Amino acid sequence: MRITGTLVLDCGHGLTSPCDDDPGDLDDVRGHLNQEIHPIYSIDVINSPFRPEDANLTARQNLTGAWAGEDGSTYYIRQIGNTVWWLGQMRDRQPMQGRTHFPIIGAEQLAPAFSAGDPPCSNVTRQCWAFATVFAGTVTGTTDGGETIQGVWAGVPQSVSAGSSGSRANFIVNPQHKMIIPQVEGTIFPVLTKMYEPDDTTPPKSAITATPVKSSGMGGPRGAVGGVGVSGPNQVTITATDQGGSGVQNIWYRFYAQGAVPAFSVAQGATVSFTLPGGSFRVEFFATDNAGNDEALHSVVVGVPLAKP
Amino acid sequence: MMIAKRLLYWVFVLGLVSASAQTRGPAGIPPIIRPGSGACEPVVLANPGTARKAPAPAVVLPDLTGTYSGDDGGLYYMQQSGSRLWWAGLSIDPKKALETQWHRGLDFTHVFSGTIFCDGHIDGLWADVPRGAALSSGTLNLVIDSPAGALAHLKQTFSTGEITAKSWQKRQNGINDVFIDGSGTGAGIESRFATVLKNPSSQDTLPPRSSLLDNLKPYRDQTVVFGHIITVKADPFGFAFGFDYEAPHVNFATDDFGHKDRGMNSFCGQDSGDGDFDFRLKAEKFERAFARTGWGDRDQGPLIFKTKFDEVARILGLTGFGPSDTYLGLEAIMYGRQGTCHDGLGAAFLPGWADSEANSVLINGRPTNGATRLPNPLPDQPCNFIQPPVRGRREQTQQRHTTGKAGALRQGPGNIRENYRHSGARLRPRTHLSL
Repeated sequence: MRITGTLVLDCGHGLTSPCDDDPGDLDDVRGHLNQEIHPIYSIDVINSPFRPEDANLTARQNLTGAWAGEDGSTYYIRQIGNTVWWLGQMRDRQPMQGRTHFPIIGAEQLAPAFSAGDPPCSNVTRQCWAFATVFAGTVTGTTDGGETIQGVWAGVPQSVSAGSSGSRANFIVNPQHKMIIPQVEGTIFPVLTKMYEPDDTTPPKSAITATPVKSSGMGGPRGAVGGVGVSGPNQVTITATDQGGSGVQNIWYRFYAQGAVPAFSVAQGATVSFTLPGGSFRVEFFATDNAGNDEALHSVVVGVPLAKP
Repeated sequence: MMIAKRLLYWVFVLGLVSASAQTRGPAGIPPIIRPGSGACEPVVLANPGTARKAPAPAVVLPDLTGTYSGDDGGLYYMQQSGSRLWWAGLSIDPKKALETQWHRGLDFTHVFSGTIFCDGHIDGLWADVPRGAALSSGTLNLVIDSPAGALAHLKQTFSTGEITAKSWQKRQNGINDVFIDGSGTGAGIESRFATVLKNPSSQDTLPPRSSLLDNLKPYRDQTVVFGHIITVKADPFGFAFGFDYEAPHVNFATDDFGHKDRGMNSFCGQDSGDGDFDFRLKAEKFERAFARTGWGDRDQGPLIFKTKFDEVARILGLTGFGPSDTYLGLEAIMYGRQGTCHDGLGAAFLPGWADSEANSVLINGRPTNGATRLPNPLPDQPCNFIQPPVRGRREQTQQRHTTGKAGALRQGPGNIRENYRHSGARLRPRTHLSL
């Protein structure tokens, strides 16, 4: 779980009434339990590396989702095919007023949880705590062999800091799609952990192609979809894509010439191929995705009737 | 604390500058312009065999960097990097003043990347990202059509995908998340705390009313904490503030459970209790620069909180805490408004669980909209409750993924009816907590 909000001391309330923030009186500070995030701005349920039981959760087939940066930022990532887009936002709001710089607290004063991984943080630019970046790139590789993201980013003037020209940036995606790691440490990009995925309510889209199958010695006719074509056998391929992000689950299809309409066959995955014999066939098909969205039925005619002898 | 009634609640589980040479970028995105020169790309006339570069225009194209308003109501943050234009576009709730919207981009948030040509046209691609509910993408062609000396104005000439904006007007002043009014007056977190008034109606006749700042001392805004909801029975004070397993749901009130009004009438009409979104967190990790940034004038803040965090688990007798774990109170408020119940509460300066859309508390990126009564998906249940927002998952999918118990609740005065069916069917797949 990832919580964002204002860190406060709750003063003047019953059990935790005193609100002594004099660090010289640590006994008093220690004695009160009134530290809070209050109010909460947002709550994100995270499939977390902190939770071993989450390791068995099935990750979405692509990177689409909200990702938590270890620096507190949030990255909204969209993968469409092998293209990756994102908007990365640091804190939405000015942290606190009244200063032109921020205190640097010596690491020796802090518990490991505080100091571990602290990056260099300029007092002048404020970039370490307020920026928004956009990114466009390409993901390559396979899920079991590791993936990389290569692309270009720029800062946009959404936050307190001005926008900035960007540069190239490369990342490694872990095989389980749960973390995105900058290839070069020390960049503005943190390690990202997937927090949640948007509900996929968009059905997949499928399309059909037909390619003639050359018959031996006959030079076979060209295939076609929609009745424009000729009578030879056709290699038919149905391919589906899913913009909603959950991924294509199945392609349902059937074909028939005349007579009884057969039941649908189901092919797992985003593509299926089969060969139609010569003649005209009606092909009906639709795709489903892993979120349970069904595409509307397509119904096309492949090939044309065989010429009568 | 603040605002109205104890909320008996639980949830879930719950470069690019230009150059003469371009390289083809990753498939599907515009070509990458190498750092170099110029602010626009020469137009290549696509006449096969006779392609040539168009002459540079007589006028200088405006710097496009800045904040724009789209005619779709959205807010667009544009950055020109040489001949590349980037933007982040965020939807704005049309029912609320732009400056007072806490969470922007809930309907759509998209990213655009395009190439600026010297004749003033821009070709690019755009894609929604899952900050907002929309998930579309497509191409977008623009033309810069602002008169000389005027603020930049862009007009759409062609698009694909579900993008509705047809024009973008650069704003005189940028609007970022600090500002609270159109004049650009800043409102940092401390002034917001001073502005938001507490609810008790008994105070209505005794102005000035208390503000949040009277009880809460803000140390660090936009703090991010990673952790788990505590499920152990921790009742250090002997009160009924234990932690129990509880079905994930959002609900309100200690009486008439499940049917209590969650709107402003209830907020304004009763003095008892708080309207909190209240649980306890085993905080395992803070954002990376937690101790070194964002403390404003409160130089001693990190030390104070470190001391508290170091001690609190031990004092409470909590088990299962590692050396760097700690315990944190977490509360939302019902409404974070500047006014009183007599003047309509006024603008929202902080998000509240019962507030709506841009000013609501987000759960997995979607507003809780706590005052909105959603139909009970299980009609035989007594509660008319609120659940974490979901968007149309199929029941079959939900059932496949929604196993296990979830959620923990700080139990306030009164009893919570334990009934897993209250919202079990509404858990988000793959995002539940099994506690």
